[in-house]
Amino acid sequence: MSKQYETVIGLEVHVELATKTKIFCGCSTEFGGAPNTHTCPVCTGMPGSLPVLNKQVVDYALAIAIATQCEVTPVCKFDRKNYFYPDNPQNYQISQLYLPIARNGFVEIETNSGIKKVRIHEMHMEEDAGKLIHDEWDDTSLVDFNRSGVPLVEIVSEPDMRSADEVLAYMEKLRLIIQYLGASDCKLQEGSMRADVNLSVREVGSPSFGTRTEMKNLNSFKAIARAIEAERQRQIEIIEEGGEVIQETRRWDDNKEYSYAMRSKEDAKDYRYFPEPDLVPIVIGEDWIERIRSAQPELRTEKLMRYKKEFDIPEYDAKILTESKHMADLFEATTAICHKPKKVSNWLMVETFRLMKETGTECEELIFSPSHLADLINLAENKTINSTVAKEVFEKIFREDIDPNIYVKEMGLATVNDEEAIEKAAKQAISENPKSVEDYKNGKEKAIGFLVGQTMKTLKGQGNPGIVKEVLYSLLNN
Amino acid sequence: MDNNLMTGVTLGKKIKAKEISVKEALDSYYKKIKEVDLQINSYITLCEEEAYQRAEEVQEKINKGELASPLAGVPYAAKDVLCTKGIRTTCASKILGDFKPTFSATAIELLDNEGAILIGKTNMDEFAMGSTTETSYYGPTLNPHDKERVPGGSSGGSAAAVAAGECAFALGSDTGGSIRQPASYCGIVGIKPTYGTVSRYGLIAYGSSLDQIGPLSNSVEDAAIILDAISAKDEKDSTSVGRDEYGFAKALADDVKGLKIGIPSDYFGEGLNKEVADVILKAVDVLRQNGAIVEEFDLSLVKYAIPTYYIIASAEASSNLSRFDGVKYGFRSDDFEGLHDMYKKTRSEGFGAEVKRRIMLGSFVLSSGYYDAYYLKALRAKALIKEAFNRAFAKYDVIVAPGSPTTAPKLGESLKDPIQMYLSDIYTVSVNLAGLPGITIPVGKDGKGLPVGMQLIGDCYNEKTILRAAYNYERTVEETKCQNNMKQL
Amino acid sequence: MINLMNVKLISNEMNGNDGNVSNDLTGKEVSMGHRIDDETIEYVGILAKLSLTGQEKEKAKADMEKMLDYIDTLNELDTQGIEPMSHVFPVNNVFRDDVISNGDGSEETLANAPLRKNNEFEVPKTIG
Repeated sequence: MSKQYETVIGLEVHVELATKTKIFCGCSTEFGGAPNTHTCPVCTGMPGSLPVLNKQVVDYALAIAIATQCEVTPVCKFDRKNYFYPDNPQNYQISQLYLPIARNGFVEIETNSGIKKVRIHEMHMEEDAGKLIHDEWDDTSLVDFNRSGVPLVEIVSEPDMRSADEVLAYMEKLRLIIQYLGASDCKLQEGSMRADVNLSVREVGSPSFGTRTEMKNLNSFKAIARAIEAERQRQIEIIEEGGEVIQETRRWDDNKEYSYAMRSKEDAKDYRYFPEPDLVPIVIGEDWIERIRSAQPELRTEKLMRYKKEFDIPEYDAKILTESKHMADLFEATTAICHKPKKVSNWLMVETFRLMKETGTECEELIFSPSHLADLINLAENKTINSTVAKEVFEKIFREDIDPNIYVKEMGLATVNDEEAIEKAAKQAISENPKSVEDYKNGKEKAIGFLVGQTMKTLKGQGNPGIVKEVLYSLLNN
Repeated sequence: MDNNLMTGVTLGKKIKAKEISVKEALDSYYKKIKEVDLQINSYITLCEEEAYQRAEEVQEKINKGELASPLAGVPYAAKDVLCTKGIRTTCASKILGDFKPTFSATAIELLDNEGAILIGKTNMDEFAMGSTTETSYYGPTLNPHDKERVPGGSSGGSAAAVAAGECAFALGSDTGGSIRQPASYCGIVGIKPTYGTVSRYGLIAYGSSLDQIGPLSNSVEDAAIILDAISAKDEKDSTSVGRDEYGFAKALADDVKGLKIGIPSDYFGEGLNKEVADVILKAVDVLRQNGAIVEEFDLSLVKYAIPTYYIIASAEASSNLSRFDGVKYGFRSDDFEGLHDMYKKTRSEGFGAEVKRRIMLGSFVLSSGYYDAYYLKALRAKALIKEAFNRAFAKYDVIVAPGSPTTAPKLGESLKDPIQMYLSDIYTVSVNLAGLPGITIPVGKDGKGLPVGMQLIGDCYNEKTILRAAYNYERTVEETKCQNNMKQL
Repeated sequence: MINLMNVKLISNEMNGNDGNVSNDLTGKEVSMGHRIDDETIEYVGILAKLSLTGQEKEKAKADMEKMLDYIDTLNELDTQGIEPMSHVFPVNNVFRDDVISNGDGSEETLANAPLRKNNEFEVPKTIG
């Protein structure tokens, strides 16, 4: 290939805020629920209904704005974005165009090519749309307004990214910040974090941008990466063939791994924004910003530094644990109870992550309580249970959040420390396995392992492994 | 005098004194409706069953002494732009079909609390867009004073119903004069309060930044008492404004001594019917004789009010009315191919010509490339108009204006030329643009015997001042009437 | 797709240039003013979701031309440096608390539906 191309990417990230109620009415934002159960006249656009702004939405939006170094707009307003679609009950969306809540921020991302700033152009508050389900049998669509009116913050970046890696790093960074703030759970698969990708290509060294397209319907990090690669190639091919890229919105089909233009005669893309007359301006003074700033939780960078100081755990562990606010919270809460940071970190880093992988669980979906993990660590530490049992019990905790103290007692899992019982079992193992005994006596150290196993078997796995070994040695050597 | 034309206050007193039962009051209004409404067509929907049921509850409360409001048991009508729970609400449009709201407007609920009884929903211009009540899907309303003429609009059904004795009072809505102008044409009292005084929750929006609900009544006292009942800060309406004190009725002092009244010379020049001007200026003279100080002045910017109004109102309407799409409620066309065709057919068949005209204009002025030239320009003009009023109110307590340039026109005359019809709002729209309170009161008749209304405009939150002036005029005229009657005896 | 860039109004005053307007353009007197073509009416029809028959279209064009000519009166008004006024009163910061106040609203939400299927609104298929 003769020419070298550079990909230029800007992102519009939508985040559903973690409020209890919708942005303009007192309906629950809870995910799921039978169709249209979380609805009222306001979020279904009934004639005569009027919106009233949920203050928590502004608080969350401000928290995100401050954490991403944005300038807060002292007087911000809502505007109406007019377009017809059945998931949009009023056929206008209440959003912000002329005076969004914040502008000109940035986040730092780290990729293989180093550290880089991605600038944020602006950030605004708006309402989410309802959900459309396509009924294949009847060839119709069904409308559910449960999501209609759920508060969103849209974060619009500058076209500062140059690769899928950078895009993913940027999204991960935003996700971390927002999760840490508690402003959203940022679950891509449930749609509480979504991204539209604006992408263009240009020859390396070209001072101006190429024509960009907007890609929608990207539901996972993998889809985003695939869509970026496909769109980059599509645009380069067009240019190489002497064609021109058309500025348009395209919809990504992740199953077929290709995108198609969402073009329609009826889709004029002329939103006729104007100031929302049913809502009044929001005046955000220094005191309000200060209140949010001082209530701001510790973000990840600060947390990492503190972990280094406070806890004696490897830096690698600290990094992994703090990648999710939920995981970090688990770590800190458990450590606060049992005061064994290294052990806690181990349980989280090894067993927890293993089971998460096995069961396809996200950090945010972990259900076990820190006190149960702390109890388990104590049980293992004071040798009430041995490590094999501990792992079994932990799996129960992981899946059902059982109380390990009760469970161990009820199931009779406590380690057998009774030397008499152990000696009896050991003698049985020796008499039943003369071959291993002979091997051992002939210098095969390893053979002891088999005898330990057999003894433990008789003890139903609950023998104190230290004592079992000791007893075996003394029986065999004497 | 027709029993049905007594004021709401008088009727309320008779009900409280057990001279008349709530049921009897309802009987008398429903009887009247059955006599005259086939001709006048004030009502779109009657809710007799609900009204009689409510009457029993209210009567019981009155008997027990639990309900002492002056409006307890008083039958009223509401413009069909106000949502009424379980009672069909049409906005006089085909597109709403048999829509039954699942909640009532705050103003309706507040009247309910007072024990007033809703007897029906009145006719109007479709979606309140019009000045004659001729654009209704349910046919025009006629003016009770002359059945060849319009009652004005858009609250024409409410005005005609009050004037014809088909209810004790009515609620209307006013976006550009829709309470004050029909009140003028029908010879009754109509007040549009300061923007934000009455909650808009449950008012089906036309121009959200201009819409206000207000009463149409047979007396200034009624107007004040109803306004007291319906004014409140509402948590459901972000634009509603609370006040430390309401007490409109208490402020009705029969005294205008020292009150400074400004007469805009640009309102009383070209374009105003001579007879109308004469009747109004005679009424101003009454106030002057009672001690008001009257002065002429230039308000300025008068001719810019209507274009400003039509840009803002149409733009907001084009957005407000986009929710009527055949998906969630109301009418859906039954012949279409695909989603967008359904939208278009539903809306084209469901909306009338005037509504479509304004939606088209509103969509155009907001469309890409024109927003600044039209919409922003209008918002700037609005700021200037507001400033002009601020200057005027620095000097005057009350500004006097006609309710309309003429008395009620004949049916069919106005719709021929939309702009001519729009011009009939010239004395009322600026009041909406500036968010001011305005009241029209009957001050006499022209040569054809048609009522003339005088408008009194106050500064923001100064309803009391204009109510006081209106009350003073009304009392003076009542006394004169009594004296004349005595002479005749 | 119709591109508004191609839909140019023939107008001498629609450049949105405040304060730079000749004074002979006064309201109704303007007769040469705006020309609305078929494409514009078609385009506005798409925005407003209204389809007009041939006759209605001609009427709509004429009405809109008249109205726009009349609206041009505003161009006499010097509004340079004037802040657009969307709300008349300085009312700010009206909020509600983040407290759930509504229960299951599905029956009321669907009560007036022209067409429903179970607990959802039914509409023509949205995506092909």
